[in-house]
Amino acid sequence: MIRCTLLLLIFLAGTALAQSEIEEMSASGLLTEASRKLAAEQYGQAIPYLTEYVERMTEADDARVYALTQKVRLKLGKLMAWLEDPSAAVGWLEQYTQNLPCDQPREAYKLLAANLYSSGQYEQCVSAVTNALARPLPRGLKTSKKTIAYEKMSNKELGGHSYRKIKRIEEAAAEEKEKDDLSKGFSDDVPDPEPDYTVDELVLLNMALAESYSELEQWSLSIEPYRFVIENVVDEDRKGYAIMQLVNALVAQEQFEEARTFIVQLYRTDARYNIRVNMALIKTASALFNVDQYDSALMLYRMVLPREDLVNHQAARMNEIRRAAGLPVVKVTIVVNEAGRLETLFGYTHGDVDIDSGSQDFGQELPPKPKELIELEEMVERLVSLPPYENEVLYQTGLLYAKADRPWEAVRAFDLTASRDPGGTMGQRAFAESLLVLVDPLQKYERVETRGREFLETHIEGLGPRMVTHALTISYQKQELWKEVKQLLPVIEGFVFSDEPAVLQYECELYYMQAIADMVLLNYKEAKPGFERILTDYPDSHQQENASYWHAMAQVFLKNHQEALDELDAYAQTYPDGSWLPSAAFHCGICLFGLEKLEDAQVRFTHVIDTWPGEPIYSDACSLRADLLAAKGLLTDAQRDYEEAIATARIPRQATYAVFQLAAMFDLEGRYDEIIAVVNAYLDTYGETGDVAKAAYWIGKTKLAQGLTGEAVEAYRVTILKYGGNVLQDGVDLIISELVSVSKRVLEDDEREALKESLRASLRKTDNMTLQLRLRVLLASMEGARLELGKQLITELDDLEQAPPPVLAVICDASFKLEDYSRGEEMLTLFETRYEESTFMLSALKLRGFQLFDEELYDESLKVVAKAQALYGTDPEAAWAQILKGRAELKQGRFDAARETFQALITVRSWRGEPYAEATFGLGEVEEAAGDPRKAFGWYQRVYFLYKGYANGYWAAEGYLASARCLQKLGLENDMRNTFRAMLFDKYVNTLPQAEEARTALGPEEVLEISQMIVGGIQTNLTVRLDAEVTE
Amino acid sequence: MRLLSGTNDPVSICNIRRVAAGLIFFALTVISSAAEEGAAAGPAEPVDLKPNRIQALEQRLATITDPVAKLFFTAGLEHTKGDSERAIETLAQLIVEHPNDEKWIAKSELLSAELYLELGMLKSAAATARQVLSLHAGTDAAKQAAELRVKIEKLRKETESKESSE
Repeated sequence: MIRCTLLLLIFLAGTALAQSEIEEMSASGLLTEASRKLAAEQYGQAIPYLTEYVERMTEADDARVYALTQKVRLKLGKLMAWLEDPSAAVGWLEQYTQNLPCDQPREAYKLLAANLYSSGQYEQCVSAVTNALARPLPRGLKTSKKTIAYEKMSNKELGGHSYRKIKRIEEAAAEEKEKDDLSKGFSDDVPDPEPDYTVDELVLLNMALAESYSELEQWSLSIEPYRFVIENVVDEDRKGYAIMQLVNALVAQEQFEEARTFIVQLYRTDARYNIRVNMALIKTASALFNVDQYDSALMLYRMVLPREDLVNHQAARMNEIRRAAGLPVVKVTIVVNEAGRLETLFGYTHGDVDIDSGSQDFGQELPPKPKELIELEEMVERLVSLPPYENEVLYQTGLLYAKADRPWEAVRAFDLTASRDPGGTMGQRAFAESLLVLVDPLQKYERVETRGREFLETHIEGLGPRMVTHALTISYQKQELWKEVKQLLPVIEGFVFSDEPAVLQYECELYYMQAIADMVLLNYKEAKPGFERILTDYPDSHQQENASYWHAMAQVFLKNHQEALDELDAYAQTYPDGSWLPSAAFHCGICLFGLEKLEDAQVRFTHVIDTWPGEPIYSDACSLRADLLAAKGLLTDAQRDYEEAIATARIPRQATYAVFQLAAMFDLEGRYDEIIAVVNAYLDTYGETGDVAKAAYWIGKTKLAQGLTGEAVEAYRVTILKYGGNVLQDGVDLIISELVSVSKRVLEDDEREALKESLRASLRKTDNMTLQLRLRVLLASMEGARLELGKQLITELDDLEQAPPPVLAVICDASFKLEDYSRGEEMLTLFETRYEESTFMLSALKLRGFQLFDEELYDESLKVVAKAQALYGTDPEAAWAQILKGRAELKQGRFDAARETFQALITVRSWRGEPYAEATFGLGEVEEAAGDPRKAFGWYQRVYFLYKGYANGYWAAEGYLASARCLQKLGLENDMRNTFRAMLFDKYVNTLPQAEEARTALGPEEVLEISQMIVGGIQTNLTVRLDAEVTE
Repeated sequence: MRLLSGTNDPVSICNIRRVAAGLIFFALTVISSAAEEGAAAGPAEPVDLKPNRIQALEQRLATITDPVAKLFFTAGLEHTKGDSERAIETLAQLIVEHPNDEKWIAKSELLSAELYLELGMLKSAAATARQVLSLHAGTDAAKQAAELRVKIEKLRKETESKESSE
């Protein structure tokens, strides 16, 4: 380039001075003058004469002039090429190849190809090389040359010379022709056909061809010419570069194995010292890394030399060239200039010598710099002007080691990168990557914690802190420390705001992980706004789709079924190819189920089943459709769906659900053999990964039904001891309930005692708190001491994490008994979030229902009642729900509803007993509140007539008092006193606290009298009769 | 010691320890040969594996001036003292900071592969051994890496077989 500039200046100067003189010269004079300039190596000055000649001769029609003009065109092409003006060279050479005669097409196409490549005309270059490699023959005015047989010529014909001498003269002439064309004059001789290209020329042509194909990204076509260069080039630098380029082409063609072969070849050369190769290594290594070719990529990254090493190597080489050229050796210094850029100082520059100074003296003192030296200096300058690449290479190497399963090497590479650039983006990124590798696979959690927290103490701005927080989050996630994940929230919220896209992306990810942690912690209420934050504050983020889905799922878990349904439908519309689509459709079915739109739910499940048979959710859809079918009594269809769910289950949970639902269905029909078959098949398939406890429960239950009590009880006992330590094994809880029932109903006293003793021994042996709690509940239940245990556990258990459902139920029952409703919400939430399927949730529903009633939140209380009744129906233990319902309705003044509720209760056989007493009393309360004390009296009186034996006489006592109150309201003072008297004579109630009210009303004397009568064995028949119309 | 991922099987652990015992021998052989090569390491002599030789080795280490050799020796000593994890960290420093040191790099990477194996990190051991083969083809280290790969593969199959039979 420098040479070009220099000579162009000379050329322009010469042009200005000589233009008028040139125009006045004859054509032959032009050629003579050009020849003279060329002979004097004043190439630039020859150009105007040659150009003028071609312009004048364009219109000539003489064959000899044509030939000469063509020679001039070729000469101009060569000159321009030498002057590094490829565009001009291309112009002249194209003229030459397109006109006749074209005596040197091979030379012309070779030069044309080189200059087309230099000027970036790659397609034309390919065409030129292709033409050249076709070995074109001279065209046009050439006359055929006759081969002369000198040995057959006569002496006269030989002019007195021997034929050998003639031959030598001819050979000498041929040699002369081969000399540098640049210095040659012009003649009108027609040359012989050109010799074939030398190997060097072929290397040049193939390199131009390969590079052009490479530039055109026609990788497959570039491979062969590169191979030719590699096989034939002598210069190691060029060979290395060609290998490098061939590797690039092979990588682009995804021929990785072959690429690797050449990389190994390259690895063993010194090609890395070639600056171009060194730079290309980074790009190729990165490409290989991106396609998981780690071994090859590592080899290339290792070849990349640090800039300083490379400069030093090249400096030594430049000094070798200098010495050879007689130039003084200089020391290369790299400095930072005023603009902050690096630059090199070579002592003096070529510009000073050749152009700017114009000093002939100086030029004469030092010989000109060789072309190779100038090129090297240019390369070094380019190298140092590039941004630093060493850290990038080190960082990439770290990533590579991490990907290639060499974690400790990765950590070291990242740490080194971070230490070199602690405040920079690259350094901080490397620091975070190091933490990630320490987490996975090295599991050095403590180191991550220490380093990460230390970093976050002093960094709150930019990408680095976000990345480090991300690494800490991953660390906690790996350890399942979800609460610790949540503890990072204030840290994230404390970061300095930035609208940089990368920062926002990380921040979005961090908030997303926070919301996910809430989901895992079952904090759905907190998770919902967490996902909203993603959707609102980071619109169109990479987590948009996920956040939309999980927000809807939070709604599902919060039982906001309509909202969830709307959101899931919206998700499906927004993301028709979304990754959550099958799951979204399935949960739409769940929502419809929750909304009691059972037909619609079945349609959705069927849609999932028909549309996504290969998706993991398919099995769940089969199970839930089976539930719906079973509810309709379509048991055969339900069985088919359950069996399909079992067959297609991806995880044990899916099979577990279907198997035990199917077992329950069989149980209703007494199909015990089928229960055993399906449960055993389940155990065979899933073994320990399945719900063995629940399987044992079903097998035991079946044995009991078959009368094999001893086997069933032993199986239950063993299962409790084996799996009772795991809080999530809800099958154990089923077994506990069943065992309590069996021990009461079926076992003989000695068998029961033996069982209890065995359980006590196991309780003493185990250290597992969950198992201890389960055994304590079991024993207390068998001994009728649940309430006492519950009271004890209320004070004993601060943390309920390890408490299984029966333990929670005992605590609920005790709290209820103590009328301490304060933990009602906490308990029900625990069940709803952790043990929603547990049968023990009834106790929590009761506590919560009465808590809400106590707080006069009657509508809320009625919702809990509705849930309890939906889950437990007319289960004997669920009578309280009907009572509570009536009471709430009464409190709301809805007397008809309350009346209906209480009356409905006393028609349910399974609720006979105390609930009847309470409901009857409730009916009295309804009538009393409705202003009809007469009717009310009738219900109250029925309580102490019919139900005095229940609840230790509590309701009977209440009935007496309420009756007396009604009689008083009716003004029947005597009847009221008689009622009190009857109460004191009633042995079921006269020792109860309520009896004090009767004693107070009657006075001490009458009370004494009654006492003496009772002692004396006197029976009374005090009955108050009213005309109340009381109907059941 | 961290076990093979996914197994606490005593047979697998025993196998790993058996292979690891071979490694200790190898590591010290390398140290021995390295000592022979090190200019300041003194004359070659058989290396005693007993703990009371550790001090002597440390003293010898103190005389080595080549920073790369020093790292290699340090890793060997750490391993001899039973701290394989520290040893592999030291080797990682050598590998990352001196990847083109012809004298030590191949040996270091081979030893790293073996330490990964000793730490129960089969995948890492296999990956490192594979890269030794590929990066240092034709060297003694590559030859030993090929043998190590066979051992790793055998161990992997044994572990898989044991796990699948459970």
